[in-house]
Amino acid sequence: MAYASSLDAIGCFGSSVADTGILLHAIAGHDRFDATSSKQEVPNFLSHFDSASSFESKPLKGLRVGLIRETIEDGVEAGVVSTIRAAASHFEELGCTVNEVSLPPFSLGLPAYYILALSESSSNLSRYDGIRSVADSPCILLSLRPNIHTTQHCFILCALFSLTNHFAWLGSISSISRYGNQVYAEELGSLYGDSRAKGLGSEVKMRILMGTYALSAGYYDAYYKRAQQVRTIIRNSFKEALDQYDILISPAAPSAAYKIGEKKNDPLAMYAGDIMTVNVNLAGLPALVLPCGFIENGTAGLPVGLQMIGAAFHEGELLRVGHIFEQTLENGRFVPPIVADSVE
Amino acid sequence: MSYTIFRTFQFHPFLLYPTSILKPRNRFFFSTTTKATQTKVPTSTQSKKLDKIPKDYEAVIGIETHVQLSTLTKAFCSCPYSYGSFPNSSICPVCMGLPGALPVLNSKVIEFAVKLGLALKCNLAFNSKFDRKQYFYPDLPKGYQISQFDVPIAAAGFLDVDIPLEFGGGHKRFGITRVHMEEDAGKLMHAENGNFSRVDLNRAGVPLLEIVSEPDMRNGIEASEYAAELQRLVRYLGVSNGNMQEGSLRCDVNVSVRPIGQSKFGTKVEVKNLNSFASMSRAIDFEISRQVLLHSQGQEDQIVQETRLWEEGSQRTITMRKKEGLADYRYFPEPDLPSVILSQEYVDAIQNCLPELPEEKRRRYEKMGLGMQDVLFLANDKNIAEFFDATLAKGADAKLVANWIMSDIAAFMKNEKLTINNIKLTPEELSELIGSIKGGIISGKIGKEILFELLAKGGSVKELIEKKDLVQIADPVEIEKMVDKVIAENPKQVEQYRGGKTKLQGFFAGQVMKVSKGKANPGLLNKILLVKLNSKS
Repeated sequence: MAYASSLDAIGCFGSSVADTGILLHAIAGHDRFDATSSKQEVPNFLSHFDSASSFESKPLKGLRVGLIRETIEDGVEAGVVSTIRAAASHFEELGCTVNEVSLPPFSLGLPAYYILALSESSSNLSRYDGIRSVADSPCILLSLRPNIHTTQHCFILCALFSLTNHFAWLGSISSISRYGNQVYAEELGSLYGDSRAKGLGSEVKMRILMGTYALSAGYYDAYYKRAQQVRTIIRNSFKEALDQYDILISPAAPSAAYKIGEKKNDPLAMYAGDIMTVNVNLAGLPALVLPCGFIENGTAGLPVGLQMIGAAFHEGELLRVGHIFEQTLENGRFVPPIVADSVE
Repeated sequence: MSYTIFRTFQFHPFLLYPTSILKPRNRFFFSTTTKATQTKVPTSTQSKKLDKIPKDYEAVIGIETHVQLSTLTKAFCSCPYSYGSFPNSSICPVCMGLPGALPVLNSKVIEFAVKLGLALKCNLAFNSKFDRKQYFYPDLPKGYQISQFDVPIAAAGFLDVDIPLEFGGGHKRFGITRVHMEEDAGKLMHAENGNFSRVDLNRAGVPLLEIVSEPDMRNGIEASEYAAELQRLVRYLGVSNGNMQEGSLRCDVNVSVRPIGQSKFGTKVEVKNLNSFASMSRAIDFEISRQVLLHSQGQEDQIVQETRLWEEGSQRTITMRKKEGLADYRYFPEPDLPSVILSQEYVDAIQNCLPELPEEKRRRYEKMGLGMQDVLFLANDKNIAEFFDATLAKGADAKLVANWIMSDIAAFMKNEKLTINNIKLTPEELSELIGSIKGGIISGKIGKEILFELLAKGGSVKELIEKKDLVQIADPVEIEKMVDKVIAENPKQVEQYRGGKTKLQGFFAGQVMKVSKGKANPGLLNKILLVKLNSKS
């Protein structure tokens, strides 16, 4: 189901870059039930996963890597920065040239993203109105949108959505499950109000309210329209940087993972954790995130994610670079043994 | 099979999908067909005041028309739509607004929009988009309507109309503000004796074009003629059946009144429930007179921005809902659909395939020398115009064809309640018939007899003439024989005639015609008859 339609894309998760590539290869391509999916031909993503023993001494020779300066500045945990710098050194060892590159509008991405995402989701969630429902049946599947523009950043809405049953239509129509809470009401207005008040969770309601506000008359120009303009600026700045560099790198988040519930009462801090990834989403680019080290003395010895960003439709290149990086980093420390075996 | 109001759905054993039940809201009106209420209502006293609209006020009227497109499938999914089918029998996850389902545009919608845009002489937007118009209503499954907001596919055009002579005649040009694409909503069916309503989503997602006129109309006739011309246009183009009764063409009119000379518009009132051109015209004239009356009594502050309903029964408009400030639809670009980009080649290809439009047809007929009444009769109905043109194409004379169609053929269709497509007469045979009369093969009288046979049973003119031996007698010798016979058989009348009672010529002509079984050439007959009657005097 749709959360923020112009940003939604399937994120492929795997135990290794190769696994992720196999999954992506299986789902990539045009979907005739999704008018926004690309009709561009899908290259063979599976041809990049050579075994580590066959690598040359400088397997990424000549690759130009840009480290986004704004992602290693103030506000980013020191441990994260040092781990990313170490990853950059590893790229150099593999034969890459690594330089810092500036994307000045980077910090605008977070507010722009949340305005657009919440506006769209406030609209997408309108259909949970308590009007239609069918007999209960177990949840079958969630319909997702194959789209090879972005391979990164999957937003799992189930976590946000406190409805008891999710709905799926892939499969037998007659066994669709019920969605939308329904209540008794004397007035149509309260039928909607009560259904949604009871059926939606507090985070969802907060987002719907913010999105509705941003789209309201008198605020549209100040919020939604500005955010769209920012989106264009961000897209252009990424394009400029990717004209000079083959891939861009950054941390996946400004801190290592925080504890469950730690920022529950501080949604802004929680949203701020998305700063590294939402820009890529706004620009509509593919990205690959993989672990590159631990913060040994930090929070709890948790892994730090490295984000690699490629030009539009360059998923193949990202997978190739990511695979080599992963297989050569600390002797493949981050590759689960079973996967490492199968690659060899 | 039980149901609980408001809480769950009533299940129909043959339905995969439920129809929900909810309480109807009186402040919303749902257009229903009023076939049953087409009673003739005497002109009320209120509408009699129409004739006395003070000359110092003028009405300003603008019209929003929704035209349902006759595409095979809906706008964003592959469900078919046909009016009157069983509730919720033509729905799918997309038009039900189920989670996960996404719209995919039917390319025919663009084609039809471009067709109408070109026919209305609009500027086309080569790069337009869809937007979401958001509001909650049970017939709107997604909670928003996919529409076009700030960039309509076509804008700034016009529509030419010839006002019929009985309404004063004249050629008018009405401006078109915009044409945009959108999807229709479902329908609520309010229970007759219950406090619940059911939702039928068959119509949800059916493509519409909304055509917004400039406020160029000044009275009910102009408005209804505009709407009638729009109906003709969509029928000529084949983009819609334009049927008002089925809701394929729906008009909402905005009426305001202002003192003449004032440039500012008066407060506008929207009038709904106009199910025919006649009711549209009457509703507007009623509304104008209502507003003028308030103006002339110094009570113009009683005219408020509201939606009023035309009541066919009482022939008046009543308040349906007052506007509580402007509704905020929170429009924003539809992220599920890519932009609509037209290429010049695409537009040119459609332009080149446009049929002759009603206005062009009328001008062409006018140039043939036909009067405006004939022109309107022939061009107003696409099928009649095609019949007329097909007959002309076979070489028949325009004025003669027009006369035959407008008199005997029209009368026959009216009596038999047939359309020109259902009669057995073909344009080829009508042309042949007219040619046979013109060429003297049959008389006009026989021609008419054959015509009715052709209308009812079909067949060819040549066969009928041969079979019934109806060829006109144009041989003077043969006619002379008949004349001689009649004169010989009626000596008394001959005497009277020769005694000065020349009126009897008609009697003789009739007798000769009778002898010839109607086949004698009347001119020749009369000529010979006169010579014979007068020669022996």
